[in-house]
Amino acid sequence: MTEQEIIEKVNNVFMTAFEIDEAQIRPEAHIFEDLGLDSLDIVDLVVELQKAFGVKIRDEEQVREIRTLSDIYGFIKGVKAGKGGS
Amino acid sequence: MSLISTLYLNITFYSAFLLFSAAAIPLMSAVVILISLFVPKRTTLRNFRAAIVIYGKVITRLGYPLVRLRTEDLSGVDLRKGPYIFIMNHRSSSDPFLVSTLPLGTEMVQVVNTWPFRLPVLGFFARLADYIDINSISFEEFMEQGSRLLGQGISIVFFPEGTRSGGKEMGQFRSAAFKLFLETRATIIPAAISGNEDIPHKGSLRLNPGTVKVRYLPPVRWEDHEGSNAFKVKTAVRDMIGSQLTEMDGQG
Repeated sequence: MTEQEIIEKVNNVFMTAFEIDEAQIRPEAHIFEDLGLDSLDIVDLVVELQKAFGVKIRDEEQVREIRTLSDIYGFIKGVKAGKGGS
Repeated sequence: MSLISTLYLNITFYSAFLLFSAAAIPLMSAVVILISLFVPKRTTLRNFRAAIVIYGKVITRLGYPLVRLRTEDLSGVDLRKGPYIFIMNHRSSSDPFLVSTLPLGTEMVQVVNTWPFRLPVLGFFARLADYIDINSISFEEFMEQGSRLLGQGISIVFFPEGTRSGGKEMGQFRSAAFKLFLETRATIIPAAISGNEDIPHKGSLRLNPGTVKVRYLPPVRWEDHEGSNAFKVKTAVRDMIGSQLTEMDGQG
């Protein structure tokens, strides 16, 4: 999976599962301050990301460090490469 | 004139607040305790919560006529017949008192941060009434406590911004209330509070003359959000309240 495909798929999760406007979807968008998620929404986000990418996300420590969309792109890239998930 | 009005308002309000509280709190407590000798614990708690609402109803009218309070019920349901999850915006420390605009007979508890529990006297009563200190418990404990209260027919009031906005803008909503909604299927009643952003302003105790409006909105039912997630529900409810606030703030 290319980096661009990961970005598109993550963005799609935010637009469909969370109904966030496409205009708000920017790599530097802060998922808490700009997009309005909170720590409880992260649980739903992880579920949606697992569904979208067909992976199991296990590294909670790394998930807790996520702040921006760009962090998520990098995180998923790592999971796909076998780090922080399976 | 404005300075004199404000001075007059603050002197009369806080004097009346202290006098009334000093007389009413011991008196109402004594009545509830006396009745508790003859009724089950559940009835005592119901009476106690009703006493808190009556206290709030008086306090929110002490500023009259310089502070006027208007309540509009557009919900189309009997708010006393819950349990409901009330979702309110949060501009000022007067908001928890404005919950008393609910009709008498609405049994409810509020979900608050730790600080109201630290208030002398009022904090003690909040604890007795089973108010939920969301910062001191885990999410699992919150869900258990919230489900139990709703199961007993007790409505729960949330200020999901978590902190006072201090102005006309509305903060982001936190998801806990909406997780509880999806889990318990209790109906949400959104409510918009406007006009109290300076009564008092965040970080101050000074009351300013004005009109406070509380508007209860039509219910948000689980059936309309089945299969949804907390984020989508909170966004829908926040938008509902936001559009009402725009209209209410514009009315002056």
